[in-house]
Amino acid sequence: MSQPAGTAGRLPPLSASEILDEVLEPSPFVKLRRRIFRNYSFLIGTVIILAILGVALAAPLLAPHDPYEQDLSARLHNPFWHEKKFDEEHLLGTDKVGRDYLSRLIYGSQVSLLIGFTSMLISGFIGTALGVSAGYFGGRVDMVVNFIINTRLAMPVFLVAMSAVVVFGASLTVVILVLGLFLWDRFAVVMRSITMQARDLDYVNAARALGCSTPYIIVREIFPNVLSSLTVIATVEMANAILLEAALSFLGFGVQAPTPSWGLMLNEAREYMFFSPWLLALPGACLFVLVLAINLFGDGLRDVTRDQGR
Amino acid sequence: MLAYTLKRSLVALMILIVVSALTFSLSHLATDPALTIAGENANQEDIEAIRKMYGFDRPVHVQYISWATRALAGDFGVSYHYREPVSDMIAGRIGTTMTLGCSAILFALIISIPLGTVAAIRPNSFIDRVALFFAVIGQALPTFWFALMMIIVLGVWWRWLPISGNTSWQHFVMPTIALGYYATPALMRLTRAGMIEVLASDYIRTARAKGLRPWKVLFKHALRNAIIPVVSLAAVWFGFMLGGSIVIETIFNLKGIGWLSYDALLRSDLPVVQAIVLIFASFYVVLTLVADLLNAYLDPRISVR
Repeated sequence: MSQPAGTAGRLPPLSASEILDEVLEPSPFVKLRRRIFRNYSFLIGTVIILAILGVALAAPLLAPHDPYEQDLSARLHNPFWHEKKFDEEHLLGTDKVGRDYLSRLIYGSQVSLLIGFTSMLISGFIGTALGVSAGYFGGRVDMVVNFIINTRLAMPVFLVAMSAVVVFGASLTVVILVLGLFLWDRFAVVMRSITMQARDLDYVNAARALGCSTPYIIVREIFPNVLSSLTVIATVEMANAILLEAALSFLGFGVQAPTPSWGLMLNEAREYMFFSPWLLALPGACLFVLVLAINLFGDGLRDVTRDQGR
Repeated sequence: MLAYTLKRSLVALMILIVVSALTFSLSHLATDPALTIAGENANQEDIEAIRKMYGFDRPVHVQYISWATRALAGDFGVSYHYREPVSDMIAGRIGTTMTLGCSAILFALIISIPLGTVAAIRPNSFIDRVALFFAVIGQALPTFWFALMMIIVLGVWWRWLPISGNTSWQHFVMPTIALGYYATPALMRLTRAGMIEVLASDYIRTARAKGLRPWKVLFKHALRNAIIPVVSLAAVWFGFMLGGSIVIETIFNLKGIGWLSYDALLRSDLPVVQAIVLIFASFYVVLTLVADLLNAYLDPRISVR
């Protein structure tokens, strides 16, 4: 409309790369790469996750001190932004028994990532198995799986997780198992509905007509369809597991002392809320950044894979 | 509709039976309650006597049935630690938790519905992006850490609000925000998506073409329809919030049933824990049942399936 009369109807000039696209259809890989580099939340999320993963893997090299080593003569030293009671040995200060806070925060990333990842694997396996079989077989199987999902949703996760920890004793393994056995509901719900749609696709019917076995159809024909949604839910559930572990450890029903878990560090710092609030601020900020990065990565991944064909 | 109602209610009842059986067997198979009651210095004879007195020597399913029939009448047994009837302990505290839960869900709705509506009027606008930004931040903020930071800033530094107890309405302000904000991202996104869909529909175009005032179109015609799924999601979230109240009540020393369950777990006081699990589960089941029936009533296609 704003174009001068003489140019009406003519196309705006194309840039070099656009002309190239006109002549040569870009390969799917190029298209994917472009979508990735235009998606800031995906990029930011990926960079932060890789950074935290790097810190967790290189913890022995990065940590200035042993995270378990107590030094009662150096209790509650302040971090670097305080003028007084700060010594250069401990950049982020020390906790109530004189352990180097920076080292504990660094090792804490291992605990969060380990618990988040392994319990996500367990819950992902359970949820996908239930959801795919409900969606593929339908009928009775679907009814039973639906009932199991609804029963699971009716259980107050946090309270039941706490009771399970009381009954089986608190340890890293118990926390991972409890979270893994409880957080599969979203996997099951989404996998079920996607499988239902995929079940009636032409090439799935074709495979059935060719006489392929049911496991073969599920693994080779159905599974590629659910894979991208599966990864997105996996990120959500990993973030969820990390937050729940922190909350459990914060209340004393999770990982036990002296393990450097961010949730447990918050628990130990509670009594120093008034005079050393940074003891509370730092582990929580780490948790926040990690969960934010995982969520950004998941949101970005959903956008990147959304219109990708299969 | 009647058949659908009956079917859904039956499923809801079965869910409650399974949940209660699971929690009961978990606590009775994996631990010996007689040991908990007897305490550390008890000898073998005392433990045997307690086992007989409480009926722990019977098979688990017999114990479950006798527990469940009494629970139906509102009798959840006696607390191992306080030696008080569990139902009395819960009755005295459930009001606090309900107040907290209701105010938290109201807080979440008051924030998320206007924000979602404004975001939907102009998708991808500045306001929409700001709302999305806060949703992303809110979803990543650990509830209990947010509560602790609020205590430090609002309670300790600025001294605006009391930090523990439940004697006045001010005591509920921080817990309400801490529990409520976590539900806002989900509710806001649903309001936004619903409003965008409704605003694109034919009857809104008709209302606009008739020359109705924009605000009237927005609130009287559009929001009314877009809000139905939001309300049913809010009902589900209310159920989740009761679970979340454990952490919040513990942090703010708000003595509702969330705090009670924490206290009971510290003392392995299983009758109390079982009763609270059952109450939370019933709330969730009843709320989702009501939401489902409401949806089926508003959209008759659902009940025909």
